[in-house]
Amino acid sequence: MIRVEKVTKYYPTFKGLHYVLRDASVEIPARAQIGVLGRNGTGKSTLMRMLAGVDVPNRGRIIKWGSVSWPLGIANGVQSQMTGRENTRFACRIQGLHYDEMAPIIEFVQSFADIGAYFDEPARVYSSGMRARVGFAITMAFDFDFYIIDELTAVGDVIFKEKARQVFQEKRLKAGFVRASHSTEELRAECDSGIVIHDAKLEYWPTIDEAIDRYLSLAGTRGDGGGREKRARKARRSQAHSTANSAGDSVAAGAEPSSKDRELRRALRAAKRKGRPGKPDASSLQVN
Amino acid sequence: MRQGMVITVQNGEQEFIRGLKRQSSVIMAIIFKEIKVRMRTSKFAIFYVLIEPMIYILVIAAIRYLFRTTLVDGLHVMIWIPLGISAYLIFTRSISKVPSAISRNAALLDYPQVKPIDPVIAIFIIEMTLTMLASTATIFLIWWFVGVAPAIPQPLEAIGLLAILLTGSFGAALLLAVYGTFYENILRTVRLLNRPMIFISSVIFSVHQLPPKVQGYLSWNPLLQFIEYFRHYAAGQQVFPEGDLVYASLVSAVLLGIGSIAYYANRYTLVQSR
Repeated sequence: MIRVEKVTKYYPTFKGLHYVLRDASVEIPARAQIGVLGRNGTGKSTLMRMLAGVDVPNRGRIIKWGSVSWPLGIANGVQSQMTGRENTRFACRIQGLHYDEMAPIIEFVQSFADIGAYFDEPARVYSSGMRARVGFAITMAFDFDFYIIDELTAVGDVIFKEKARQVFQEKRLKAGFVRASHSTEELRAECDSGIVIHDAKLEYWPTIDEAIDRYLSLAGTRGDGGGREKRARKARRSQAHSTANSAGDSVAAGAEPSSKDRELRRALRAAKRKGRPGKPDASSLQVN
Repeated sequence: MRQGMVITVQNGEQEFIRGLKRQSSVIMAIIFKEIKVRMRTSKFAIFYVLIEPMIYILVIAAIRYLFRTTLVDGLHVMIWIPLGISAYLIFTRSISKVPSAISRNAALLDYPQVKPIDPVIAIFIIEMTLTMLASTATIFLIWWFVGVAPAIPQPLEAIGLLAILLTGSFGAALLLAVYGTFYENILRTVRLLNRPMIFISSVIFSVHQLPPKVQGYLSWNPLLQFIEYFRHYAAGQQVFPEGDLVYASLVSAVLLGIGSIAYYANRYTLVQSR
């Protein structure tokens, strides 16, 4: 369990103190699958860093029962000077593992990250995707009671995403997840409850649907992200309808699109751009 | 304003012992990582780090030897110079190589186990080990080729003196690591100020040959005091009249205290400043 008690966090700016959280309290039960929502700059990453213990509040306290992972994000935790193997070994050492206990962990990370010979190259030559894959694999190689995942949605190819989904499924049986993301679809699929950060306050919602609705209503009133989300949903619905008609697929209008559907639509859009409306070529339909 | 906190509730093993074990694991991990990274830069990187102070010591000693200076303050020049430079290098390498440890290892602070002081301790251990290994190897080389070696009349006192010098050097390194991470110009200024230290610390020229008035001024330099007493304990050289080991020890303790306070006061800001 993680208990956030009257936490206040601010950053000094030229115009005075910028409050990210003010007297925020929330209790995250063990094995909870919580999505964290909020507009850019509202303090999602700060909250994740504080939950992981990398950062500390200015006031209040965060009490943790059990082990909490380091915050897993796009560029976190992988040191440029070290190779993927050395980064893994480093993580093993700071976890207090002995040398002979490291071999299975390294083997897991190497096969999971699947970056080939780059695993023994310094991380400074990695692409951002490769860094994220190694960072993700290192985190998943250890068992924590809570995993802190900060906007790690668009990492890797289809195969890696499938592997990540499987490992998430395994881990969530025995551990909790706190995930910050802008992807409402992803959070709806993966989380049970939600936290919305708004005006330096934490709002806890017992179901993720309520949290997403609250997030969208907050964003929508400002005519920005929410508007975009609504427009995107509308576009998706009409596109799904046209896809179902044109390609003979079974996607119903308004239904949650699968990854295969998204690939199909992307291919259709690409074909349209090329001036060849209609059926896309077979190679662009490959999903797996 | 009172700082907030993140508390991890642990069961079983005492939290203090657990914390010590965790920190020693982290420091060892950073030491391994640092050696690996240095070795990758060049296969001979560690060899160069060892050979650099040896060449430094040997060249200065050889120059004085070639100018027919065989005895300084009653000691053979090939003993007098290496002993002085060894103590000098402990301090100067601490304040020149260690303070950048936090910024160089900023990415590691993404792991909650790694605290900003850990890279400072790790780099300090590496630098001091290499410096002392190089100094010892140089003294053995001189013994082998020239046939002179320090008598070490008071070995325990010499070790104790080195421990006090290391304490003060770590305090200075920690202080500079904290403020050098915030203000890089501090490190540049310290590097500049460090240059004349070799001339005012009785490393190349003996303080005994200077007028008493100048000796009085120079006695405020704690590094000079350490070097004089190190030669006294390791080779039996007479200490200059203004010698005061209590003053030097006090400066060491104050440096460690200020360094620790500076770190404690800024330990959270250091993590946020990345």
